Amino acid sequence: MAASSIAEAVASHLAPFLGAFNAKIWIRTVAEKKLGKSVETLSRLDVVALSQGLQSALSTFMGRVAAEELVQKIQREVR
Amino acid sequence: MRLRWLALYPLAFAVIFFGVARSLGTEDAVASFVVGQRLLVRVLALAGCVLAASAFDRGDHLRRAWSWMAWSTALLLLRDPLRLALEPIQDSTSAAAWLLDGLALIGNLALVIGVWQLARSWRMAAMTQPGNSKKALALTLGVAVLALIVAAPAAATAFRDLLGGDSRASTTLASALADIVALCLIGPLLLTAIELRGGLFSWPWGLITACRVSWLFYDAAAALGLTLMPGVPLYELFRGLALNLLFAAGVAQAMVVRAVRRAAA
Repeated sequence: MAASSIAEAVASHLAPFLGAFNAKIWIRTVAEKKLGKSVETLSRLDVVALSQGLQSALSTFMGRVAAEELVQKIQREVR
Repeated sequence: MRLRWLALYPLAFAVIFFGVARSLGTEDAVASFVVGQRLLVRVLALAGCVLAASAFDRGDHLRRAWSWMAWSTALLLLRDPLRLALEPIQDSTSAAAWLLDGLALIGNLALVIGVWQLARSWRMAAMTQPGNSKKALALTLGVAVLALIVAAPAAATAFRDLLGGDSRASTTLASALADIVALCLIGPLLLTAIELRGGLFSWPWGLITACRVSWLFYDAAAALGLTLMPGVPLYELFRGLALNLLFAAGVAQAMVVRAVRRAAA
């Protein structure tokens, strides 16, 4: 999967809940601050770290359990 | 779709409230109706807060926030019928009067904690600054100034009464100050709702912001002494609207969290 598609695929799971714009911003923020990568250089190998990096922020708004479940779904489906 | 209907419900209730109050023949009937609907909307608001809190697990930030909102609503709900029951024996120095003032004070303090917890959620998520920083600051300060203009007169009156020797005014003053603080937090709530636009989570945040704005209108209507019709102060309409919006926000919160879990299954 192309790098930009990784970000888009992850964003598609978040957008229904956070909004499309926010989903992209959150992914960019985690990629840059926690992975030290730009969105354009993300690979399949980054999906787990990316989704785990999003989990804390997601937990704030949807609770720990729902955030965990959503992160696990992202890891299952984005490859 | 259901969230849209949920958001419309408080407005529909306000229209129905006005229509029913107008159709009642006597001032006594109107007064009883107003008291009854006041209790009803507080019960609904409490149910919404409990539903929202129960959508989260122990330790979740928003479970704490919604729990504080529930406690606030419950204490103020308890106060309403107690005030009616104790009215015959209440005078300005009685234990009953202190009890009622104490419930209002603790209820308002719980509200401040709940609203503050909600308002700090975006910062806790620590993803981005909500909105453009300068615009966000301008909005927050603007709303805070508006809240002060609207709610400060009640605090000033209570302060004057306290200085004049009315010891009960201390609880009135504390409640008024708590009210001001809770209103000043409208800015961060609004910014969070705006940031979440386009997503399901914008609904509970938009509704809780609208709830707080309704309380701002409540304070304004009370300060100006406006009436909706003979025997019905305008602030009763805004109180009903605010509490129904709180109910709707709580239900929306629970619905959205469940939507996440269904989608993730």
